[in-house]
Amino acid sequence: MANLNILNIDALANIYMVANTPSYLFRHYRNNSSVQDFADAHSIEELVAEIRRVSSIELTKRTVDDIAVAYAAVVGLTFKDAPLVKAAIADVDFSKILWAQRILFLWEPYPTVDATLKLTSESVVVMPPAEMSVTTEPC
Amino acid sequence: MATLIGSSKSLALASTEGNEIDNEQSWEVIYQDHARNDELLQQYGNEPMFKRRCQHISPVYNCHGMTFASRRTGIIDNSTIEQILREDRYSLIQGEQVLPGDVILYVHESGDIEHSGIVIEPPRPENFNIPLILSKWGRYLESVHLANRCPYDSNDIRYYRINHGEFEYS
Repeated sequence: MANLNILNIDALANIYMVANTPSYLFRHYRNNSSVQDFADAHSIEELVAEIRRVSSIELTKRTVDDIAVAYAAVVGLTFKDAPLVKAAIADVDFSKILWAQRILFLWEPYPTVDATLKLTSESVVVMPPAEMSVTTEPC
Repeated sequence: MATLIGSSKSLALASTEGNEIDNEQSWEVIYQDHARNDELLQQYGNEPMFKRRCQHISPVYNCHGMTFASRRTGIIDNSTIEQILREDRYSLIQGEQVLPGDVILYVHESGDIEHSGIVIEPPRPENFNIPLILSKWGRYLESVHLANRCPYDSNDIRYYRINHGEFEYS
């Protein structure tokens, strides 16, 4: 189990909330010292386990803080050895973390030509439960 | 409160030249979105001339989607913004020539176009000679703010306006 106390989750959540692009998120998370500390304190396998853990959380129960932790783990991988990371994530499903694959592609040491890792533009499709509804309130 | 949980998908979107524009909608609204939104409003709410444009937050579109795609979807790649500027025939505008409706881009020193918006008011003494901008802050709601009072790097701000050139009457 990852030690999430290392992360400055408030700051990371706020970065996530105002990020318009994966590159903004990647850059600001890379520059956040708690993300590097988090990476230093955990192995590649532990970071991947954290990504899997957040991905397994039911979407209706997932919080912004969960997402921030997931992206911290993704960016944390970019502090590790690229070939080892590539091997470790070979069978990881990133579809529940919207920009995870794009961030990994932005990572300069990351192999840019990889037939086994395809950037999917259409992520998970979750049909809204019947009991959930969209309310339209005036602005 | 919107609680629709859905997919990420793209729309059929094209430039003026008819070429496909990459885009991405996100329909995921996450628990705590509104709480985090309120925190941001507390942080920026007292800034000069700051106003939130609407009560809702919407993940469907981002800043570039508001600026270039009429809020229908999000645009997230630098190369796509560059494509739009080129194929929709935007011209760079000098700061002193800025007019309402012009596009503003925030360019990080790395070259990353990290934010965009629409000019509401050009630089005037009333707004401290800093343009007033309407823009979308990530997952947050749209807000009106001074160009240099937002969570984005304002050291390299650029203004653009569409210029289709001269037309010949037939």
